[in-house]
Amino acid sequence: MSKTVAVLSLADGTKFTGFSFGAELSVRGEVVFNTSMTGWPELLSDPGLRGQILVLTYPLIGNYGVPPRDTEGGLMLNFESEEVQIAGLVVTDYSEEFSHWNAAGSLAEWLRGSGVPAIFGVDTRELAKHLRERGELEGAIEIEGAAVKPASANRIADVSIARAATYGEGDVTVALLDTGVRHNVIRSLVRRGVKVLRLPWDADIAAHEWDGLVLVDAPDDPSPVAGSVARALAKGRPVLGVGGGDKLLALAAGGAIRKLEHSHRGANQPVIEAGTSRAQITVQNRSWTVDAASLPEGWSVWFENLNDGSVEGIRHEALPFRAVAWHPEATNRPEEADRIYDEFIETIRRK
Amino acid sequence: MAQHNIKKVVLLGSGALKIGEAGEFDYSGSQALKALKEEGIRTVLVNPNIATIQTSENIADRVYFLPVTPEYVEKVIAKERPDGILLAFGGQTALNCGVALYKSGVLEKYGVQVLGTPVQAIIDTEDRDIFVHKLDEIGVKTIKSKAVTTVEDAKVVAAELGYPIILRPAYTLGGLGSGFANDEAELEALARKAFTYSPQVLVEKSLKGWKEIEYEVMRDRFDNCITVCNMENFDPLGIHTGESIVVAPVQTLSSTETAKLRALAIRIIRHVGIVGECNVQYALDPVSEEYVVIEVNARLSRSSALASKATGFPLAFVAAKVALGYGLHELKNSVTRVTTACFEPALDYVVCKIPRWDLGKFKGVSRELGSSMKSVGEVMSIGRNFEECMQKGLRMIGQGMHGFVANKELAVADLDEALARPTDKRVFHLANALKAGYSVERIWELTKIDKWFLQKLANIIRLDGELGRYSSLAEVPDELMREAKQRGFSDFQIAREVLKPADGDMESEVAAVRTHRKERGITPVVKRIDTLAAEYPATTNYLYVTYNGTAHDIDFSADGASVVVLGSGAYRIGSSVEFDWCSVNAAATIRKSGLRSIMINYNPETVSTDYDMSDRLYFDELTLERVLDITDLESPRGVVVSMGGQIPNNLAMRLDANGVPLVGTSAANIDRAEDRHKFSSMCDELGIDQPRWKELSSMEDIYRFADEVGFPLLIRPSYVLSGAAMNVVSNRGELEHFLTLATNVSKQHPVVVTEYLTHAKEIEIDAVAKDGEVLIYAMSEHVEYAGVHSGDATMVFPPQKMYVETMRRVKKIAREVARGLQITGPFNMQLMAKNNDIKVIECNLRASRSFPFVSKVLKVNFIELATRVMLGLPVEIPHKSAFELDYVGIKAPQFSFSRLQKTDPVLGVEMSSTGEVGCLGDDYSEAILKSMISVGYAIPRKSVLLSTGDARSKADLLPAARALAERGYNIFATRGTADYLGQNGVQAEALAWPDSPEKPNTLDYIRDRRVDLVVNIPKNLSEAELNNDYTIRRSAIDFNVPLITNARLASAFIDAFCRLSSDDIKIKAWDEY
Repeated sequence: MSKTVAVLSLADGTKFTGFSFGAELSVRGEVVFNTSMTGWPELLSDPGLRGQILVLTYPLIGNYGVPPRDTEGGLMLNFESEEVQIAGLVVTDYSEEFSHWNAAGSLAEWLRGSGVPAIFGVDTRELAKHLRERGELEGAIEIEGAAVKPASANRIADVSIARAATYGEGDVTVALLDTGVRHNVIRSLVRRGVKVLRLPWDADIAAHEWDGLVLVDAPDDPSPVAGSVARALAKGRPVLGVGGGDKLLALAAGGAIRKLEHSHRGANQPVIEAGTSRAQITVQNRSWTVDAASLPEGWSVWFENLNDGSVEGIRHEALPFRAVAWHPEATNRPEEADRIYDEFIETIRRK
Repeated sequence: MAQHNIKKVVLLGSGALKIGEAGEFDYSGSQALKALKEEGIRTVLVNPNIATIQTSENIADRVYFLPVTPEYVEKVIAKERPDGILLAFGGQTALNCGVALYKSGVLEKYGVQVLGTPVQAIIDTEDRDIFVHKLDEIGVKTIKSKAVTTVEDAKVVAAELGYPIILRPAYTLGGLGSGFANDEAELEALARKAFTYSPQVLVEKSLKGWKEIEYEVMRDRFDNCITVCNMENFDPLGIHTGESIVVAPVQTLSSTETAKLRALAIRIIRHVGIVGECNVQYALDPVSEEYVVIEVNARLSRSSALASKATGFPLAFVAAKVALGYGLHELKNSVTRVTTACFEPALDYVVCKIPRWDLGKFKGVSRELGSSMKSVGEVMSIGRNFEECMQKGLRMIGQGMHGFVANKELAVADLDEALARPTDKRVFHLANALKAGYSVERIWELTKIDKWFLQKLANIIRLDGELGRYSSLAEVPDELMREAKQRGFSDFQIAREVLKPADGDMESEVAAVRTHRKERGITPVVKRIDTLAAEYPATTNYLYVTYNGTAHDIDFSADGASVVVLGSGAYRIGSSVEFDWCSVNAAATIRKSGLRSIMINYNPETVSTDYDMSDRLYFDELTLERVLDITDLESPRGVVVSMGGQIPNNLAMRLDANGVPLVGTSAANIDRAEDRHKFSSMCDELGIDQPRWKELSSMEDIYRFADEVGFPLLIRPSYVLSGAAMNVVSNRGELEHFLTLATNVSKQHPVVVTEYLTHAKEIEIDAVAKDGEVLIYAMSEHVEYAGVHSGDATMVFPPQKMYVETMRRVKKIAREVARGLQITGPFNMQLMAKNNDIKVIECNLRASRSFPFVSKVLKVNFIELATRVMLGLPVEIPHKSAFELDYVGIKAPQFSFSRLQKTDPVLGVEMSSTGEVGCLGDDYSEAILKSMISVGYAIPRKSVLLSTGDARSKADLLPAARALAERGYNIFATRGTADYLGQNGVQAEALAWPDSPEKPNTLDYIRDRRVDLVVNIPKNLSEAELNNDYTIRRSAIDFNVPLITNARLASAFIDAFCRLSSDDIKIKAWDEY
């Protein structure tokens, strides 16, 4: 096997050299790391990671192959969206051969088919330490002689649905602003017997008919849609933010967000419900957090991170507005996370 | 925060190391004691295992070297009046003892609160029916099984479930007495045996070939749960997890599978109501998401110790805090010291646990692996890809293998069979098969090992082939050289594949590879285990070495203020927790003296591999290559090779040759003690007598030597065809038989023949010397005559039955040897004495198995003293003499024959015990009783079976038989013994030999457990045929009747329990002596 050299160049001039195993293309993107030891098919297809170069700290990747593209009710069963969303992938050891009863192909085939470059043979621990110290940097995967893949102009538009769509049937309708929705979010709602109205990112939410609203993460600055959300809040109907949807809710409510000192990217983020002794281990993927001090009157911190004390959830004391910074719908979520959606739906139904 | 008013806690240890319950519980218990100490709680430890860290000074406030049985623990409770008790840290032994104390109302009677998991939850997980019912309640699937109480019921249930069937006795450790049955006949035999271990036996449908997955889970009283680690068995279900290669984290499961098993584990721990740690074992269908829960262990286990080391998460420490009422969120991660303990570790490396077997030490043992554990130790290797990890691990197990490839040929008659029926050698047969062109598919069909693992192993074979295409180092492309190192090839493997030297020590070739790759810049990096995959900075130095990286995680300082301690590697017969005790104490002394300690060891069952026991822990190989890699980087002031037993000792010469500074006795002098010829000539010079010996390479020479010194003779071949390496032969016939069948005598493979003295007293001396002057020594005597391996002997310190003259001479010899070898540091000598005539058997210039024992009995830490001496620090010589002790210490061996099917449970020149205890008594008899009860003997209630061998041992045992008769015991005996006893006025009922159809028969009496103790003394010294004596011994083991096979020990034990009753045994703590 002849190996093609690929280089990850960071904006601060640092270079990490390895070998190409994805599409033979050069790309640019923000370089972020993730410490999950499993779940890369979900991670690579997470719209929240659109345009990012993903570094996996767990070194053995590709072992169980890529699952089939089965769908149910218009939703991907094994992925968080229809396609590979990341711009590029960086790993230590790639398993050329895979073994799993439910595998439909290899990771390399999937990446090549999706036009996404990837590097193996990189010391991803060293790289993660570097990113931890310097903060997440812009970078590029460079393969000599390869075409350069242009960066996207609007990542939120890229991942969003073009026209509104509905999923499931039910007594109530939940609107979902698609700034990059993970299929598991839709599934979590449909499973609870509600109708989901998935709106394009630039929709005027207030103009649609719905009983409750769900906000999700966005792969870019969500400020452009904060206005639409603010108008929706004015209706006073239940609103739930999940997995980064807290940023949008905070912005719409007049709060501010700030960069985290150390990003939360992994499946082991401990959060505790404020004022209780109940902690849970959550899945997260974010470098921004709601600035607790900026929260307007009537808002309070719902969950906190046990490691750095950052805001992991906010809620309004009187109105039915709540949000968590983590993913209560993740495949490897804790059982108690189900209550986030349960309570939201109950609140809608009580109205 | 924790809400408790606990002031004093009793912690139960696990007793002697045995198969299925080993060093991991020293680690767990030590961590728990540390956690309690932090809270200011007074701790009382009951554990007769004197060689452990947990029974050392300043760990527990009080230590009782007493049996961990309800009877003695109750007495300790009555005396100490603790507020609480911890049951989860001493394995199944502690758990069973605790459950018994709970059921009998003792805990309630004394108002002792069980901390952590409630006893009812323990019972719920231990009783199979309740367990299945409990999991049914939450819709969690369990193996279709049924608990039965009779052999007949077992047959009926097996027929319902369909064969193959697995049988598991309830409430046993490490799968004791369990096994597979393919048909009714096999089932019946197995069931009969199983019922001797437990009144309840589970009959289960076998799921051979499914994946075996484990989760380590924690829960606090606030119901917060975390899964700390998941692990995947390389070997599919059917092989006990203690016998399997285990990989962490899981490798071949999809994210939905891991998420599902994780969620189930949390659901289970909540429903059962664990407060602390538990382990959940699953079987997972390899072709769907079907699963079943195999079992839940509501306590710290071997797996939890492994998970702690694999992740850096101190499970036992945190479990102890949680037991006191802390929430996980209130505790800190001890690696980062800033983040919370309420998290799930993220690994950025992979670990392999590989078991270490010592089956070669046991005569006649079955080598096949199954549902019952036989391995005696384990290693954990760390790498950043599977190949690297696996090859490191295969070197670490220390059985002469250099990795997955480049090993000596392993001959096998039928490769398919060797793959399909797993033995301790199967992993190497995988290499043979891949080399022989077997496809991954074909190997999978035969083994059901997941193809992913096989593909990775095939990758090693591919690289091996590529290396073999070159014949000089200069030709090997750097990229290939680097890739080989990244996939775990050692310099030795590369030397063998590229340079293809003829067999030999290959030292120059290996050195050439090292030099070459260093010139080419191919060197490894040091990485940290930080629990969070680099997300947060770590403050501890838990390290490993890898070629899969470009930068070190740590900085190195050449200030000459660090000292490296080489640990002991995998526990094995002859080297276990005692060397860990020595290593840990050496590291602690280095630290106390203001230097930095650097530990290298790779055994996950140890305290030395706890990252807070030294300033830097390299969890890595103890090969010359790796130690040099580390000393190259660390530039230490010196390396300690005398604490970790034989592995570091064997490195001394080569480290010295590579310019690595050793502290203590010089390498040249270590060699003078190790090299038989050099040692002999020194002894001759000093006028010290040795048993006569010769290294001989022809049969004629051997016969001539035999004529000269007479039989019996001890034969040590340098090349072993089959069976044990050493043997004692009593006559020419046996000599011929052994030399032709078991070995191969030639110029290349000479044989060492040694005069073998019978009825000689064996004496050991453990000492510390400085520049050749003995500073302190401890002399012990064996209960058994010389000929029983010193590791299997019962040791008495201070000696009770030795001539003063003998002692003086032994002391003089020790001083002369110390001076002759210019010893600085610890040393141990074994000698024998017959009529004040003293001969030296051997001398080791290192710490020995008995250092912790004599240190704790004398209450002088020999290792601390030795370490200070080696570092050149001033020492105060304690003026303490063994003669002044008004108590006796006895160290007794623990055997694990019950797990080693078919092996002859007889003692000889090869060591076969797996552990030991050490107990103190006001006199010899009390110490004997305590120590014997601690290793599983019981004072017989009414009947003893004697079968006392040859005339001499018959006579030796006569006084004991008389004592038995006087105490009103029923004596049963085999024919000859009964006759002999009758002639000498001791009434004994004769029983027929096992092979006789006559009744009453010995076999029936053993099987029906109508005797409480069996004494069977073998008639000769050589390998026993499968004869009647063997049947008696083996049946005693299989039907769980205590057995003694040595006349001296039997006399001592019988004499002791005829003098004292169990009520005479004093409940005195270590500090009360």
